[in-house]
Amino acid sequence: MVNLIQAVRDHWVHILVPMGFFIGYYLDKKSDEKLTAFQNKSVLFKRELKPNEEVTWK
Amino acid sequence: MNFMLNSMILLSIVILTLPLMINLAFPHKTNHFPAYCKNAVKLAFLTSLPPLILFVYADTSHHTTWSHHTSINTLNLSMSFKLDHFSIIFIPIAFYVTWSILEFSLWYMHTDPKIHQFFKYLITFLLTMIILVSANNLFQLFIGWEGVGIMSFMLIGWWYGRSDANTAALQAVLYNRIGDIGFMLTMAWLMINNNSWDLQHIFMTNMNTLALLGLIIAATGKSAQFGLHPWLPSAMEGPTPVSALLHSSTMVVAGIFLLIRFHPMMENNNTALTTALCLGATTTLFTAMCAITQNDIKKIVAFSTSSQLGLMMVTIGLNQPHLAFLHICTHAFFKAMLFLCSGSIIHSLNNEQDIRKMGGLLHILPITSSALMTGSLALMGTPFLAGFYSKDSIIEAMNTSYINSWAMVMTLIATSLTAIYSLRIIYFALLNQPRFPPMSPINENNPNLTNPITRLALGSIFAAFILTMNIPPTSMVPMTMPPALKLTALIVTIIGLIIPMELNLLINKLPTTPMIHTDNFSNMLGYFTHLFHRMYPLANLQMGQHIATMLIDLNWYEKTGPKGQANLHNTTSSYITSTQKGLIKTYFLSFIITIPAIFAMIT
Amino acid sequence: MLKILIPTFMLIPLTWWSKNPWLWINPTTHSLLISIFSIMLLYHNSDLGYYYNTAFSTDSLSGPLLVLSCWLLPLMMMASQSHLTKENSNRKKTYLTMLITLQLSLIMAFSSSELIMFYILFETTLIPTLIIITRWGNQTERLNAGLYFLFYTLMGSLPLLVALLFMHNNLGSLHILTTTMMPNTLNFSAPNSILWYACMIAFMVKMPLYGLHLWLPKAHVEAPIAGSMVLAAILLKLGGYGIMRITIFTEPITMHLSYPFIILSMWGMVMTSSICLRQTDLKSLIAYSSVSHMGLVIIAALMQSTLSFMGATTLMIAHGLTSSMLFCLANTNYERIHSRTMILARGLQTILPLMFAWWLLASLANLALPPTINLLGELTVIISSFSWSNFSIILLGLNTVITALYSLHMLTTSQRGKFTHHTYPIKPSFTREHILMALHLIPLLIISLNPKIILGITY
Repeated sequence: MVNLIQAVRDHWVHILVPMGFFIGYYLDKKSDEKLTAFQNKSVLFKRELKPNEEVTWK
Repeated sequence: MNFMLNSMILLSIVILTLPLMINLAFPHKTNHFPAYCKNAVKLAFLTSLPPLILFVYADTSHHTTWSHHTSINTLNLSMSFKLDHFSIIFIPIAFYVTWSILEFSLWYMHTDPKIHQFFKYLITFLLTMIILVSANNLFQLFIGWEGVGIMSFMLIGWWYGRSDANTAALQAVLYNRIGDIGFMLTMAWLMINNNSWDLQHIFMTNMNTLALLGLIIAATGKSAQFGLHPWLPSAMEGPTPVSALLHSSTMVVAGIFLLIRFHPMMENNNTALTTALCLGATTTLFTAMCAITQNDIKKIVAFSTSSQLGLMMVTIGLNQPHLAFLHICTHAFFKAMLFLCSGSIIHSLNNEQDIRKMGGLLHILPITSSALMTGSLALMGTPFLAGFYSKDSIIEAMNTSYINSWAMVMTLIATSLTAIYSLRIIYFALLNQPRFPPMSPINENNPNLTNPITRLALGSIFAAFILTMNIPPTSMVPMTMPPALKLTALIVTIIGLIIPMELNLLINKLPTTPMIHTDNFSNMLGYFTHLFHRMYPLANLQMGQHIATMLIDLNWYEKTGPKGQANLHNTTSSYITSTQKGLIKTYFLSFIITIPAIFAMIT
Repeated sequence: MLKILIPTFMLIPLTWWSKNPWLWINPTTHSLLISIFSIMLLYHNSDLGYYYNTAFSTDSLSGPLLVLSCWLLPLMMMASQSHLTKENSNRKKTYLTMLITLQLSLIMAFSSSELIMFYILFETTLIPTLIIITRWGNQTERLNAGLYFLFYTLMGSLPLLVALLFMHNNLGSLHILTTTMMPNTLNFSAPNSILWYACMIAFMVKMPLYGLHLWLPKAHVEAPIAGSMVLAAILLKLGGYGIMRITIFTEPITMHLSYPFIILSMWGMVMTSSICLRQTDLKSLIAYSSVSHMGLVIIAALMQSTLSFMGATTLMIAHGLTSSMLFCLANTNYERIHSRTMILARGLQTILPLMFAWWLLASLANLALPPTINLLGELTVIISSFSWSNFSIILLGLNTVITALYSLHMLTTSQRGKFTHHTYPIKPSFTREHILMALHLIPLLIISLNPKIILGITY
């Protein structure tokens, strides 16, 4: 038990970079969604909306 | 059948890579590695024979594309092999010669602690050479081209503790690189104008004189033609097997080989042909002249190689690429053998290379001596030995064609000089009384020494016969001519045999040899190296030091740049500081003048 | 982009909170992880590049450079270990922080999609580099070197700021990827020429162009190993990258004004190469060889053809890896001989045979032996400049000859010959060093096998 705590105390820093990666990944994904939504609005990429489908941008 | 041709040749190349793979996988198992390398090359040779027979039988040629490398715009680079007349014949010969040389190295290098590395280098070299020979596009050819250059750097500098070896290695790279400018020029030209580096595509179009001259420059560097020739004799600093493999039979002919490959482009361009002709004639005469007064046995053989390369270049200029190729093939056998013989002599006489300190070896080294005799006779073009078939045809072709008679005379003189220097080796090394110290470790009983020499001797007796019997030349070779022209080569050679014998007898009676200008000229390599290896490097290094570093960098750029700025600001600020004397009254007084003046201007 | 940036930023707390025994291992491993992850930036499926958000985007020009800079961070950490053994842990942490900050600003500089932001980050990179040079350099000349480095770069880049603000005022946007699609506007006239010079001079100093290169040998020589590595591998490439980006904005006028620069850099290549021949100082030699290679990149970037852009991109990546490896090798020598003078380290092949293999491969890559990627880069540049003017082959060919000469001269002097007596009690080479060299060489081999990933925007 003590060893485990010691190990955690020594090595908890390893969590930092993966955490950063996941935060970054999440933020990127959100921004991607925002941009994709905007892309569907453009003349070049827009498509016929299905009946009852809402637009992707608001 | 066609599949067999392809796959057998490629199989032999793969067999060649096996030793390298094994060395990568088990880097510490080096005990049997040299013998293993030798056997791999032997196996590769045997594997490459069926395609040769197939080629003779069916006269097929191929090119295969293996994998796509990359494409730049519309230019495709892919790994592709061209298996035609030249590569199918040359590959077995290269394997055969290398096999013998590797076996010889087992004996010659057996005391070297890094013998396995030496074999690895030789195998790598052979691989790059095969890539060069079989490449179907210029990029791949360039890989082989530079690969053999760098391997020659590594192998010349094998004894890296010696500064001579290091400088010779550097020299080889320098001259080769100068040649590479030409190669790059041609590549650039082809890329811009033909948009392809594939040989088939190139041959469908035309190349202008500039691009062809680029190829000739490349060949000049690689094949040690006049102007870029000094690296070849210097390269003799490397171990003898290296001289035998790289600097006689394979690497140095790469330049000629390139021109042979590109011959369809050259045959209609008279400027390029004449350039090649004159360049070759100059080379063959000049280096033959240098060869006759050298005393180092390896240097003589090296200069004779250079002279033969010049002859090949002449043949290219004569529009006879197949004869040039035949000469490459026959030359490989007897020249490799001459080097092996000289290696054997050098080893037996305790690393003595000076032919003046040999003599009488005929009785104590019988196998080496007889091989040396055979090789020299073949080199002179004695009828029905290897050299005869190619050399005699070359001279006949030259005699019967409408070419520059100057070049023809040069070449004929060089041919008679060939006889002189070959005879000189025989006379000094083999005949007369021994002039070496009595306790020399003379022994030629090792099969690793005698087998390769015998094998190559057989090659230099029969190879050309077999080749010419089975493979008809594809370009026109003149067959009928007056007897005088037919016999020119022989007559010239015989003159070259008789005159020096007479001169030799004459000179033996003279009290002392006076210092002769011509002798000095020939012995000092035409003062070429003294001029060019001192003037140009000196000028370059002086420029690097005095102009580039000291004048421009440290003076102009630094003094006008940062230091100048610093100085300027320092002086101005100190000057301005010294004017600020704290005379407040005076300063305020100056306002009285300026402010009304400004007001006056505004209003 | 944030998925690279935030982890990179997190390296800083990682460094500071790591316990002493893991001080080197932790950031190295994690930055290596980040760099492996960054390889996905090489993937591009559209011509225009990939927008992460309004500020960041990558395309096939910046992708390879980004991967290179991510790749170099762990290598720099590995290389500096021995250099910093005598420092206490706080200083080591500060050093690492500087490297990471530099990395952050480099990533943002390469991936920013807007020129003003690029400019800001371009300048930001100066600060950590300056600190690295002036604090951890080995001799007192480091202060002078730092001064040169800072002032040359700042003097060059101030006009760029003015020009950028002016252009922003005119165009309304300095967004790189959208401006590619707008019609070109900068015609040939005197004020426009001044604008063009203002745009170029910053990058010319950074590259550096011959004549503006004085800071570079000083900075390279005086910087600690990580500083030399990052300077040679990435910071110089900022210049090439900048030229290739900004010439989009200055399209027609570049044709008229680039001639003197092209000629100057061709001449400069020959001059700097011949300076290399006379260098006694190993690091200075490598630094001058960088100047000479960057000359090729300038030529290619100003030539403005599809082929030359490919050559420039390829050469930047290839030279980044090669020169960084050479600096690492020079540093391993320095740590053993304690001098940068070449003649003092002779015959090392006898003592450190595996190191010789690395030296050999690095020198061969430096002299552009086929089939390395360096050759493909140089060859494309030579071809494009040959199509520009046939006579350029003379200078470029001369340069390849001299390059081969000094590369092999460097190899011969340091590795061959008889070894001297003062090298007798030499340290053996460490696994760390071998890994460091291998990590330089493996990417070089991979992209040699598959060059299309780094051929840039015009591929």
